[in-house]
Amino acid sequence: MFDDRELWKKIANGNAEAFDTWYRETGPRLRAFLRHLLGDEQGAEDVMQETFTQIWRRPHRFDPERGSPRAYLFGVARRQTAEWRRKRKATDELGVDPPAPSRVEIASMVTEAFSRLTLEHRSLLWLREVEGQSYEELATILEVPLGTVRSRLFAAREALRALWCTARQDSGGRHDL
Amino acid sequence: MICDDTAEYISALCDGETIPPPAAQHIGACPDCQARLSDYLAMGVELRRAASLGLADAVPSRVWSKPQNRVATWWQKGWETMRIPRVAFAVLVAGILVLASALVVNRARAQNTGNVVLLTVAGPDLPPSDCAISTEDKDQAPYWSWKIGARPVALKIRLLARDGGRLRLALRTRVYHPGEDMGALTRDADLAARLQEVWFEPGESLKVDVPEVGTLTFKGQWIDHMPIMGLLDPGPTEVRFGRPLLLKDQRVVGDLSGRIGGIFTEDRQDWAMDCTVPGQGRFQISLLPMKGAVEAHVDLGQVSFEEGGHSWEFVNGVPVCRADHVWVLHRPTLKTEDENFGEAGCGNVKLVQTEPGVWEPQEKPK
Repeated sequence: MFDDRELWKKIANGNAEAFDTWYRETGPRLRAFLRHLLGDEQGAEDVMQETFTQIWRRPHRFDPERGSPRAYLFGVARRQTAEWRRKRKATDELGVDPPAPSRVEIASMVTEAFSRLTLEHRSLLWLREVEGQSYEELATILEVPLGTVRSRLFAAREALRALWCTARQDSGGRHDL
Repeated sequence: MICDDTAEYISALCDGETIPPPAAQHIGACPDCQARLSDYLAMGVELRRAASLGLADAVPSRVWSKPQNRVATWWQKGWETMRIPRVAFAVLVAGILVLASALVVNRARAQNTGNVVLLTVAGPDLPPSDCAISTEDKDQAPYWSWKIGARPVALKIRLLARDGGRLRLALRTRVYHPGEDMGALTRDADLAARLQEVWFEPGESLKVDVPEVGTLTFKGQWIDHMPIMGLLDPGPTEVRFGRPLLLKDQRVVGDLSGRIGGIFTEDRQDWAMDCTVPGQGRFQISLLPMKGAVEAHVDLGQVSFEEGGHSWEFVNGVPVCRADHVWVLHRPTLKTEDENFGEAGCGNVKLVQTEPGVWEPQEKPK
């Protein structure tokens, strides 16, 4: 684990070693997030690399007063994801397809249902449930008011639960995850 | 209190929040709300489980270079230790900038016209090979495969960004073991491939050291259109095949039009085009006489020859070479050294001189 402020001071001063440490520490988590968001291995890899490249080139865009570097990282990645999807949609109109399960994922009913959520709901649930981001951090990452975070999280959970329940009924009422 | 009123509080409970007492009381007594709470918790657990599966893979190594920071540091240090009046220095810099601006504009105009870079890549055992990269289409990713010794190598280039006259390129390379799937890199699915990012400025020569592969050399120039690569005039030492059909006794026995767009470019003669046609074997074609080869007549895209009591003809979509004849070595039973290169396709093979005026393909042991 890192002292975020000390680490970021080094990164802002162009310390490549510090940035590489941060990249290796946070990269796998970011890539897992992007895989589930995009459902595309290479897309996730590209967006992850582009995200780190952008932050490395312009570290001063991050304001430590406004949140943690990790929240900033996921915020940048989320914007890059939207950009990636916009370009992908423009070129091959694949943007509306539900993402395929990740390579490393053993598909389950919940994860299958998760892959059918909207991008917004996937982002929100992943960042909350997996990354443990606080309401404040989610508000920063998603660029929404703090009060909106709770209601959106509820909406996302309800959407996931509805899809999961449907899948359970379709499979004969078994309560498999 | 009814379930609809408490549903959002159940979500808040899962996030570690406290909720109003009436909602807490209702949830404690209501089976439906408890089922919802149980589902929410189970969903979170399952997402974390799924996430855990994807965290084992390390991210690819990268080099974090930042030239602008070095400049900034140098500038800052100089500014702080300056021994002449800073105003005088500022005037001096302004003067230099005014004088230099005309040169800069001219240089930029000369080198930075167009949105396409004609890129040439060369490396150990990789003859110089051309491709065109458009800065307006980042989805394109030129791909090369060749061999170093007995081991196949693959290189894929993707344009990441353009900064004025410079390009940010991602280079994915991998040296494979026989039997490994090289196609994974083509499909962008090979996570074991080495990733390097470099800045490349057309007009300059860039050397990139790639572990296991050696030094790759990149050269390039800006052009204003996507070229139709090499379709017209072959180079003086080029032998090229483009989407060929193979006719045997005037019947089509091989159609590689859907498999390759083979272009072989080389500035030396001691290479041969190596073309595999399923069911017919391998055909090695060179400007140099090879041991066991027959002479073939060349007429633009047609290469015709007699061999084994049959008439053969390759019909290409591009002129093959400048010469009016080439040498064709037909090896009906010789398979490619490595199945990874596929059943059908065109590549190239190095020639070695075995006696004065006679060359042979340098086949690597399996």
